[in-house]
Amino acid sequence: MAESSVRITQMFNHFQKAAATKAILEQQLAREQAELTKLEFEVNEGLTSLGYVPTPGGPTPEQFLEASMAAIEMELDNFERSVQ
Amino acid sequence: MTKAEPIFLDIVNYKIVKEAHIEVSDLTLIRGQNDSGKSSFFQGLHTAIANESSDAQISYGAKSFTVRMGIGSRSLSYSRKKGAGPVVSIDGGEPLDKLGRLSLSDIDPTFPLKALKFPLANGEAEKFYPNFVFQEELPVFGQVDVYAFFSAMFEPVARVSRHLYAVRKRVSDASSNTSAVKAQSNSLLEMFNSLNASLTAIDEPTVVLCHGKVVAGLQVAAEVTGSLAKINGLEQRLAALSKYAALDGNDFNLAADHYQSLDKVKVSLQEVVSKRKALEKTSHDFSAAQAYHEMLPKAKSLLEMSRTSFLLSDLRLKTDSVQSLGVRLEQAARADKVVEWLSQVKTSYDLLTGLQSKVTTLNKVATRWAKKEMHVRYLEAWITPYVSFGQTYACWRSSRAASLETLSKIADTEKTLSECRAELATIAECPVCGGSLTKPLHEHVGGLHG
Repeated sequence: MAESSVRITQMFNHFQKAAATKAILEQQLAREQAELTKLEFEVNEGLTSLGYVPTPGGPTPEQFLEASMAAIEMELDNFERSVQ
Repeated sequence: MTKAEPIFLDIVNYKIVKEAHIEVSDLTLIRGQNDSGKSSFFQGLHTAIANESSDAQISYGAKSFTVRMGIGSRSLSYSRKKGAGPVVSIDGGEPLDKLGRLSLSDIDPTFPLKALKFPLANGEAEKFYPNFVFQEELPVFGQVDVYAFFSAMFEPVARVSRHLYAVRKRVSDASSNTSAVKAQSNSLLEMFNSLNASLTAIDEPTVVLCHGKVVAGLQVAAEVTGSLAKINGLEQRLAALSKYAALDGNDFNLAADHYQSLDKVKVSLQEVVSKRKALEKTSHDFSAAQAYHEMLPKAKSLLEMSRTSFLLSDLRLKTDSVQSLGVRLEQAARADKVVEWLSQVKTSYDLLTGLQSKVTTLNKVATRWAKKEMHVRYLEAWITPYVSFGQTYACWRSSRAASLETLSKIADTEKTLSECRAELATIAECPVCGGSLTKPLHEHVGGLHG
């Protein structure tokens, strides 16, 4: 009977600790979601300022950025060749 | 500012300058007498560049003055009316009249000409040597110390000229002395001829014979014979010198003149001898013999003077040679100086041409690199927003990954809780109070035992 009681107590403590951890993680998630929302707004603003317009069937933001980087890299290569 | 760009300068009614127009070339000298407006011209340019004008600078009788200048494709017009402030127009643009104390470099920093400096020479305040200072700090032209410039250029010629003048003076003095002696000699010759004519006129004896005096006349005649021997000696010397004089036509003619003069003397003396013979034959004319005797000292003097004339002729021959040598010396010195000067000019020109070529090359390089620099700035302006966005994008990705990780942890915790709940639900009796459980243990503990 005593051994069973000890195990139950341990299980109960484990349960309470997991519940507290969950509460903390949920608070952390709420903060992270708020930061993520803010950054998503800035990313969208940045994409708009760089000339990206989301269109159905058009390039994704990643595809747009990749194409822009390729164009810049090609221009830099041309400039380096002209300097040499 | 490059040398190839043309420069012109106009000044109207500024101080003593009524109207002046100058187009500046590779080397431009501005010359004029004192108070002719050379300095006023430069002061007018300084007035326009530094914007330091007043009504006192307007020419007497005029109502305004104007200074205009053109440098390559750039132009400037600066004018002032009596009772009004200055007005400036750059590149034909809108006239600006509220200048205050602004100078040209303040109004338009890109205008090539920005200052006209007046450094003093050797601390002499009354002299100035203005230099035009352009954006590249290259003085294009300035005022030259004219006295030093011409002194340096003509000093060797002046030195030869002074020497030649001294030689000519000596030749001229010797020539005048020769002329004087020759004139005196001619005068004596005329006198001799006159005496000879008088002697010739005595054809018939008119005086009483005197034997002793005739003997004296014969002695005099003997002296005349001695004189003839001297004349023959002089004739031989003259013949020898004629060979030397033949080297030069003019000198030969001079020698021939003297030879003819001596020949005349010789003929005259031979006539005297024939008269002496006539006197010997007649032995009657004492007066004629006496007159002949009186004539002899003058004849001797004439001979002496003729010899002096010959010596002077020799001197003249030598001075002519010296003069000819002086002329050749002067020509040679002048030619050497001109060749040396031309060599210096060519060296300077070659240096200048090399510098111009280097300046042109450097200008081309500078232009090319200026274009590269503009391209770099264009690329920077293009890339900078992407760099900034990349930082924001990286933060967003990091934040999203963190959220996903937290969500994963929450899911794991929830799984653990579910397992705990399932196990706690199997317990029928509360380990705290020992009572039977009508709901899961965690709900029972939370409700009854706090």
